[in-house]
Order: sequence, then structure tokens, then C-alpha cells
Amino acid sequence: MAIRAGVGTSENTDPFQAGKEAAAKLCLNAQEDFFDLLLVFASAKFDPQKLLAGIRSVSPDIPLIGCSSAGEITSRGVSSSSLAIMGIKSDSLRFATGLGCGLKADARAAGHHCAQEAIKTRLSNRHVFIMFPDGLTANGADLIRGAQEVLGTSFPIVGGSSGDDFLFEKTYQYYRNQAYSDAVAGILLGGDALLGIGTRHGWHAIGKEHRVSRARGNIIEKLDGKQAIKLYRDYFGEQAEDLRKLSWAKIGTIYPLGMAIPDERENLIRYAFKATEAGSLVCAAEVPEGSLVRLMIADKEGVLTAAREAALEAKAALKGAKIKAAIIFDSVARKRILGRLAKEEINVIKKALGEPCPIIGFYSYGEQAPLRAQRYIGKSYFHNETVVVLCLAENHTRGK
Amino acid sequence: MYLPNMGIVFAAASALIISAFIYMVVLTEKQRKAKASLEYSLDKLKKTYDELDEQAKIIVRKDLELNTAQEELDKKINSLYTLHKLSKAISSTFDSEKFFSQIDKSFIEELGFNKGLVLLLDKDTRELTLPVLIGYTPEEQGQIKEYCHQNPVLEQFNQPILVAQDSLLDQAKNELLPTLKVNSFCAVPIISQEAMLGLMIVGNDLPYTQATEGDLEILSILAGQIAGGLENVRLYEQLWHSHQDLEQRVAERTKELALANEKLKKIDKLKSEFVSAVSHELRTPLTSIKGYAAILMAGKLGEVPEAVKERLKKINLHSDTLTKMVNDLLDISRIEAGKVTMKLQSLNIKEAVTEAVDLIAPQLKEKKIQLSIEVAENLPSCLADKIQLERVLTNLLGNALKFTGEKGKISLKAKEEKDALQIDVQDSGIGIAKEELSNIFEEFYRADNPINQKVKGTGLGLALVKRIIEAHQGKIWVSSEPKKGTTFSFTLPKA
Repeated sequence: MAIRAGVGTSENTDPFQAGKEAAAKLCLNAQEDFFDLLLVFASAKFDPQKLLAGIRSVSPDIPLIGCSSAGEITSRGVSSSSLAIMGIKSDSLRFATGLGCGLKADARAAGHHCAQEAIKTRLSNRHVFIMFPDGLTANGADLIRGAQEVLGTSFPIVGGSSGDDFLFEKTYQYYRNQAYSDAVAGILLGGDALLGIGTRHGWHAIGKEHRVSRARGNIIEKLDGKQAIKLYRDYFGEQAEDLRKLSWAKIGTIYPLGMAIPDERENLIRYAFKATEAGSLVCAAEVPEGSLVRLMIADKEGVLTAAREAALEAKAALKGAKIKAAIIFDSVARKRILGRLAKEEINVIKKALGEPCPIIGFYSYGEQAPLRAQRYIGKSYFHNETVVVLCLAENHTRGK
Repeated sequence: MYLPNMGIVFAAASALIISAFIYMVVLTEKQRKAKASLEYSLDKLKKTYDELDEQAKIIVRKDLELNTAQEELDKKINSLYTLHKLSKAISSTFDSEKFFSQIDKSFIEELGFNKGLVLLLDKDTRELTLPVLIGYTPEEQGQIKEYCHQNPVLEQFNQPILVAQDSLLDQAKNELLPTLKVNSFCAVPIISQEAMLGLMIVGNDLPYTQATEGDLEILSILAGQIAGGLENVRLYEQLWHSHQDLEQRVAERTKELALANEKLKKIDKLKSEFVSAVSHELRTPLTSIKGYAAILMAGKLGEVPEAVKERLKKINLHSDTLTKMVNDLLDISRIEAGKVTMKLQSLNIKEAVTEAVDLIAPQLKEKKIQLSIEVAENLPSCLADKIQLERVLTNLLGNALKFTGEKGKISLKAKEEKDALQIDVQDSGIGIAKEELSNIFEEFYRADNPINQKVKGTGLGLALVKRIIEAHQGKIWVSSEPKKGTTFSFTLPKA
């Protein structure tokens, strides 16, 4: 019933060497040569194929899954242009992986296929499905629906969308020995273990509600009957003049759009990472036509408080069991708004989790998590600006 | 019967209708009023809502401004920290490689960039090096090096400058953007004493972080620090080189001196051997001269007239002086050459002193010189050669006697020192001039004074004394004041 985990990192600029170095450090830190699963998060700058080859030169044949990111997280804090690997070894946890391709063409089908492949491996006691979809091409909400067709609507799905250091150009998904783009890599966790999931963002709605008057999938074309981008022009005035240029990523991520969900404390957030020439907003997931959205705003303290609450929520679900590993899916927007305090968010999470444990995570372009995770009955949604904390612990209550 | 009833009914009905009508009229009026007030409230609410939205706009604008300012501030704080760190590193090392190694990935990142390079120009060789190249793959590093070597990059960026994709600069400057794989960069020359030592460039390939004027300021300070550091390194290296140079020269000189000393020693030895040989050769004919003079004087070869006898006496006397001189010379050279071994034995100083004093007693009486001997009771014995010690004492006492006028004073003191016995021979004589003190132990040196001009001497006495004392592992020194007197002191080992 043991779960052992460790983390290895590298800042080497050569992708092969970085992979080799991080994998070797992982073995050294965890005092293990073989793992049952490798979670890999790395800067998109690395040639992904060479990176994986480097990792494989040390740890061949182990199930490997992960994605490129906009910053890597370990218990030591936050780094960029680096590589972080977590190795998990357990005689009680079971893993089944799946892959879905062609997100842009049909995200729902890709999500369906990914979950279908994972579910083929018969796992007793399924706990959670972790997904790493392309953060630029997918309609995240559609993707989740696809996976839910297979797993059931209330089965918990968590994860983060791949990033590329804020470039918003091309991201990668790592699956076994291959790197993909426009794909989703998924992993089903089963077996005997305890899991805790916490989700928060800390953004607040401000100003009027606006009706999405025309939308196609993850693209909002019109808000209140006007060009979607007009909303931002209206609110930010001159500062938003250059919305299609460099500052867009900043405004779009720090001030996203939020949708109210009945009975849920926090709004569901959608951020637009791109504005088209026609003035439409490209979001990380769909915003259905007719829905009412509001501009969202956040302050650093609120963001940090949200992180603490997410960690506490995840920890509470373990009912006092010792945390063996923590995985954090953290929105790039949070890194952006916290600036120098980005490391502080990880410290806040560490402090909330209490005892030290191996931590891995990455800054993502979108997050997936159930809305009311602690009750395990909530439907999973696609989020933005959110931090998702997933904790693993050994289950010692069974059989007693 | 019916009619009045009907009338009542009609009246009642009419009243009912009228009252209903009145009621309706009143009701519509109320409703109308309520509606109007509702509409008014709604309108007000809508207005407030719009106003709130306008306020929201102000809030988000301010918030964006605040965030932007905060970002710039964060960057500055980071940069300052980084600057402080580097300053410390620079001032604590004189090794340029070491402080360039401080400019690493995390350093560049703390400045808010992800790529950085430093170009350095060697003053003498005009060679361009890139000690810092961060954020690039080995392949890219090669390309950048090649570009820097082929283009006049240093000349192009002799002023701090901010280059971004949309900045309107000349083609050559903008050309560096794709070469360095950045969206924007800051270039700052490293200048020390009007000379351009190199160039520092930091840049970003991230679209959301553009280099700013603030970055340029910080970077200029940084470049100044680096220039200062490089100057320090250069000065230190110069100092080190000159120090090395000096040390080498000292070593060379020492070697030369050692050689010269060796040569001198050889010459000295040759001299001693020569003197020894010559003295030895001189003694034989001298003995013959003395012998023949004695034969003549004895009148064995016939009567010798008085006048001749007198001359023969002089021959004898001068031969004796010459023999003594030759003997002293021979002794000096033999002691020097280590050919004479001191027959060391435990000696009572008091006895040795008394014996020596006895020898000069007649002269003391003649010159009415007062001699005091102060030898501490129970003074330990010394370790010395009896004959040689007597020679030392007679020589020193003889000297004292020679240079002390009538009714003068001579004292002889012996005392115990830390690990030796010290004997002082003090006189109240004419003394020795300061500038001559250092020479008096040399062979054939005779102090320039009236007595020496009158009284003949070999100039070998003190030289011999010094050799004897040194052969005993002792020390000899002199202190003197003209017209007041002289004190010779020497030490001998304890038995």
C-alpha cells in the first residue's frame, strides 16, 4: 500500500542533457531506479523529442505522461526554461494511459478517444482522470464532455492544458516516447489510495453583465451585439488600444471573463488568449451563446488566499492521511498577476499542506477540475485562472 | 309594488355601478401612480447600475495601471537585488572569469530577461570574446559568436539603447533581433576611462515582457559595475605581474649575490692559503737571519765592534717583530681555514685573568695605571683553549695599556650572562672614532691616532682576537667614546 514519489529537475539548455540530468536526479532524490509512472513538465523551448530521448536514456519503458508548460513548479519554487519530472512508485496505485489527437477538428471526439483508450485497461477502484490537452487548439469544455461520455458525468477529471512560456504559439503533449501537438494525453488513476482535490481562483466579478450574443465554440464573436473586443476597449480605454499586440496576453489573462454558476461560490472563468483581426476573442474553452459574462478582477492577496483554500480543501479530503505526493495545475495568469510573489503561492500551498512532500506542477493555459471536488459528486469543468491541487496518500483504512 | 322595488334596485344598482366606476377610476389612478414610481425606480436603478459600471471601468483601468507599475517595480527591485549581488561578487574577486560566472541564467532571469550576453574586447590583441552567453543552445551560441565576429557590433552599440521590433532604428541594429532570437533587448556598452571594453546585451523572447527604459537604467549601472570590476582585475593583474617581476628580479639578484659570495669565499680562502704559505716561507729565512745575527753577536766569528753589535741587536729586534707578525698572520689564516683546533677545557676565569695581568704588571706600574679586576665569586668556569684565551686577554689588555695615558684606569670585569660568560676590558684611553669602530677588527687596520703613529704595530692583534673568539663560538664587540675610553667585550661558552 506504499506510495513513493520523488522529483528531479534540470535547467540545462541542451534538451537531451536536460532530460538525462533530471531523470538521473529523480533516481538520486527518490533513491529508486524504477518507477511506475513519470510525470513530465518542461518548457516548450526544449525540442520535445530530444528531451524525451534524454529521459529515456535513464528511465526507459516506464509509462510517461506530461506536457510543455509556461513555468515549472517544484517544492523549491518556480522556474522557467527548465524541466521537472516526478516519479511515482506504488504497489497499490494503478495507472492506465490514453491519447486523443486532432483537438482542433473535434475536441469532443479526441477527449472521448483518450478516455476510451485509458479505460480499456481494467482498473479497480478508479479515482480520477488526469488530462493534459493542448492549451491552444482545444475547446476545453468540449474535450471534457468527450471524456465524460466515457467516464460518466460526475467522474472527477483534473489536469492542466499545455503551455509555451506565454508565447501562445505551439505547445506539446508528452505521451510514452512521443511528443504530440493538438492532442490530449490522459491518465486514469486507480487502485488503493486516497485522493484529495482542491480548486480555487480568487477572482471577483466587476461591472455589468454582458450577454454573449454570438459565439462559435471557444470563440466569442459578439458581446451585447457588438464586436467582442469592444468590451475590453470599453473598460480599459486607451490602454487597450494595442489589444491585438503585445499587451493583449496581459489584459486577457489578468482580467478574464466570468460566468456565474448556480450554487457555486466562484464564477467559472474563461480567458481570451488571443484577439482575431475581426475583433473576436479566442478563449481556452467555449462560452455558450446566450450566457451572461462579467469582467473579472483579482488582487494578489485574494489569489494567495485562493491557493491556500485549494490546498486545504485537497488536504481535508485525505482525512488526516500523510500526503505522499502533490500535483499542482496552476494558471499562467496567476504567475502573471503575482509576479515576484509567484513563489509565494507555492509556499502558501506547501504551508497549507503541512508536512513536506514531493511536489510537481506547472503553469497551464487552462485547468480541469470538478466543481465540488470534496464531495466527489461534482461534474468536472474546464477552468481558467485557477489553481488545482491534487494530493495522493496511502489508504490505511481498508481491510481494518 | 314592484316599481318602487325596482326603483330601489335600480338605485342600488346605479349606486353600485357608480361606486364601482369611481373605485375603478381611483384604482387606475393608483396603478398609474404605482407604475410611474416603479418606472422611476427602475430608471434610477438602471442609472445606478450604469454608474457602477462606469466606476468599474475606472477601477479596472486603475488596476491595470497599478499592475503595470507593480510589474515595473518588481522588475526594478529584482534588478537592484541582482545588482547588489553582482557588485558584491565583483568587489570580492580579482578574477574576471569568476565574476562573469556570476552572470548566469538565474541572474539574467532576475533582471527580468531570459537571454543575455557579454562581449569583451581585448585591449592589446583586439580579440573579441563572449564570456557570457545565456539562454541559447550550443548551436545558437555558435551562430551568435560568428555574427559578432563578422559584424561591427561594438561600434554599432556604443550608446545604451533599447531595441524592440517596432522601434524605428537603423537596419543594422534591428538586424540583431532575429540573430539574438529576442523580441526586444537592451544593449549597454562597458566603458572604463573613455575606452570601450565591451558590450552587455540582455533581451527577451517573450511577447509580454518588453525591455523598458527602466531596464536600460539598471543595466547601465550594471555595465558600470562590470567596467569597474574589469578595471580592478586589470590593475590587480598588473600589480600581480609587477610583483612577480620584482620577485623574479630579487631571486635573480640573490642568485647573483650568492654566486659573488661564493667567489669571494673562494678568493678569501685563496688569500688565507696564500698568506699561510707566504708566512711559512718567510719564517724559514727569518730564523736563519736571527741565527746568523746571534752567531755574529756572540763573537764566534771574531770580535764585533760595538757599533756593529748595536746594529746586530736592531736586526735581532726587527727580526723578532717580523717573526711575531708572521706568526700572527699564520695563526689568523690557520684559524680562518679551520686548521687550528681549539683545545677546549674548563677554565677558571679568575685564574686566567690573573695570569694575563701578571704579564703586563711592569708596564702598568711604569705608567701608573690603576687596574681593577671584578670577577664575581662563584662564577662558573668557561670552556676555552688556555693558550688562546691568554692571547686574547694579553692582546686586549695590551691595547688598553697602549692607548691609556699615565694614571689612567683599566678595569677587567667578568660576569655570567644567559648562556655564556661575558668579559669586559674597559680603559679610560683616547677612545676610537665612531667611523672607525666597524673596521678595527680587520686585518692590518690601524686606527688613525697619534699613538698609533708613534708606536708601531702590526694591525693584526684585534683580527686575531676576533678569530679566536669566533672559533670558541663566542662574540666580540666594542663600544667607545673618543677621549673617554673604550670597552671591548667578548663572550665565552660556559663549561
